[in-house]
Amino acid sequence: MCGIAGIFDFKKKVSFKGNRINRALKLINYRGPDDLHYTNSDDFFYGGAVRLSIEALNHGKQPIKDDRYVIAFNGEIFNYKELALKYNISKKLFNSEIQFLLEAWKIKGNTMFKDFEGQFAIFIYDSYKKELIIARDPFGIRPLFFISNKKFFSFCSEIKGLSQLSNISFSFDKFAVGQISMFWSTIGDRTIFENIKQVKRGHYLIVSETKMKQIRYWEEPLLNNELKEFKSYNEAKDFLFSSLESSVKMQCHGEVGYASYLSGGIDSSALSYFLKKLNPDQKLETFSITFDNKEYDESSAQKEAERFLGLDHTSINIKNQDISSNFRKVINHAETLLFRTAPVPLYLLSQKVNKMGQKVVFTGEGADEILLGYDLFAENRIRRFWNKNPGSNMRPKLLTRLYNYLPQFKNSRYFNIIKDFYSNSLSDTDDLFYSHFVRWHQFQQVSSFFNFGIKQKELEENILNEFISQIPVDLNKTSSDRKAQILEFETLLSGYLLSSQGDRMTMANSVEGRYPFLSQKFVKDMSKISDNLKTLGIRSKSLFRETMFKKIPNSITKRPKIAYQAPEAKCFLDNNFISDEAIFLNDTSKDIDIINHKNLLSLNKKITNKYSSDRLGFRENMAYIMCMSAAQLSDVSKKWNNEQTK
Amino acid sequence: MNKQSEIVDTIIDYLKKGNPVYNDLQEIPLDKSLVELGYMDSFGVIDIVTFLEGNYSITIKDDEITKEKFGSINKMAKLVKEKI
Repeated sequence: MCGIAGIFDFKKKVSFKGNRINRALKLINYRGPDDLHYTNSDDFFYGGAVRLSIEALNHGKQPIKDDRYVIAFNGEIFNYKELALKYNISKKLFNSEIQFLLEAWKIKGNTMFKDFEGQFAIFIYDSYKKELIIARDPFGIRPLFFISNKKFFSFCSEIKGLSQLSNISFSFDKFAVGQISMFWSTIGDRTIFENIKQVKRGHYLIVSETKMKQIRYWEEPLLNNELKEFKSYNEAKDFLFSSLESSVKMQCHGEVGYASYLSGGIDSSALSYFLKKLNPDQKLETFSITFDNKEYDESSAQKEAERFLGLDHTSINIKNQDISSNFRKVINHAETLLFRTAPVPLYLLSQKVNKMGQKVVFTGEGADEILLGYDLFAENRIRRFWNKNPGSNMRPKLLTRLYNYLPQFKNSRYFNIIKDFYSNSLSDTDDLFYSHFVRWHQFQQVSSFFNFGIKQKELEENILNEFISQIPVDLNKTSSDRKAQILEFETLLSGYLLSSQGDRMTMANSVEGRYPFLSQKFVKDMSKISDNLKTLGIRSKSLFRETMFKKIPNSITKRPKIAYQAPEAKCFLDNNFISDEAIFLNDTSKDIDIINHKNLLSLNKKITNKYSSDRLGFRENMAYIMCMSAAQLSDVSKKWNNEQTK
Repeated sequence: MNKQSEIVDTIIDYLKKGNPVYNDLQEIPLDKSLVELGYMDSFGVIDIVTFLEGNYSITIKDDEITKEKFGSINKMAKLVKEKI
């Protein structure tokens, strides 16, 4: 149930609306290869959907309509049967999620969204009121883009579909490029393209000819600060265990079975454990990525989980060349500028899942944000602790416990420099963005590879000011850990991990991702556990590790956090190799306004210098991958437009 | 024979390629820590160490990668000069 599109034509002037919807949906039919339909209830509104059949295989046709409403959705409402009981909806009235949604809407209206357990993008057109409502799930797992003007409002699950709904030229929003240079993703309702917006996570829009209102229905549970009291540490572990188990159980939803990703870390291993526990007699297919480049490879941990849990495991091996040769396809699906290549292997992985005949895959996104797993959270704690005694020799030594997967942290020869690197960013602990200072400082260097037309300082200020206007107003009232968590939700999780690495890469191959760590109930439950209980000192997600102790291999519960990484710029060019993609970038970048061609060529020289290190600098890779994305996206987006003339 | 000033130029040229911010500076800070100024991240340090070791066929010892011995462009150049 996986792609939607619609046009609300205020003046009844847009011609062939049905035809346009049909073309938009065909362009994204990989999201739902099983079915395509569109319909209307009056001359103002046409809407349609493509469907990947997972639940109620024979009854889930979309959109549906009655004499007043047209409704369709993309995603899953896992608790729809439960809610039907709560809302007193007779079983006779529905035998699929979409039919339930229509009945629920009639009873609850806009208040239903906050009751949903699921991942969704929904549209409801009310032909009596001439009003359209579109909504998106709390973390932005399912995408939803729109164009709004005085004549019409059009929307689609993917940006490329919008090209069929009206005449648009895809030009980059420079401000959005600036946001990615700083936050690693666009923020709020911005997309990489001018005039194309997205529904913000946890919001719904009410649209009519005279107004457009954006309303937040999801209040961040972390801001609630209501803590549950536990009699013992074990009681807290039991609470986490049963909450996660019920989240996984709830998401074992549908009639087509499921598989799971297995990275070799604790999150995906825990998911495999619960899936096996819930269905002990069923074989569980798991999928992972291995790398030729040993620096990124986690195959030994994957093998251990496979043996321990009795999994039916398949892995795909990625070579540097696979990254460069698939990058263009990946950009066509990501529809934004990437700052790293990590989505490419995930695209190839979902392709494998599809080939093996699976439609649903469980994945561990959100665990690090919800359970305080990232090193960034520990880094935040260490900097605050060190700041209380800046002269201490012992306190900065804690930094060596961070980022164990990065060579400069792993190798003690760099300790003194690492210390200097952090020593300048210790004070200002009251600042709202303290936790992310160090990361966001990359902006200065990365943004100098782009032409913004305004001074860098001014742009930086504007970006931060706009960001402040987007985040919850009471953010400064909560703890430093929770602030950092919410900043992660607003930036990397929603704008990159769940989209560029998540939905867009799985749906590209007609596979639906399931995210139990982001179920509404699990997120609410975990917000009731105090920060220090979740993570003791700087041991990443220690409560979760203890919870999973002996249930998955010890080597995995004890293993330091390893971030998923893939090789970067040197996949595209090196001192003895240049890929077609790098040649394409060099040839086209002078015609792409946003790219500073001169600086890019200069960076090329550094990448191809035979003495530059294999990994280069983080910011240099980021700049190169962003430029590569811009060149590819600029070209593929022109091709979306050409579809129109066919 | 490499003069220290030539080494300084080589280092600046290499750094500029990866970080165009240096192009915008009126004067490149030769005696200040690039890490502390925020011009270089921790990956960048590995990269410059790797580059200098490769380019000049030298080995830089672990205890030389400190602010005192390696903390500015002039200090880097001096260290390299002593080793070639």
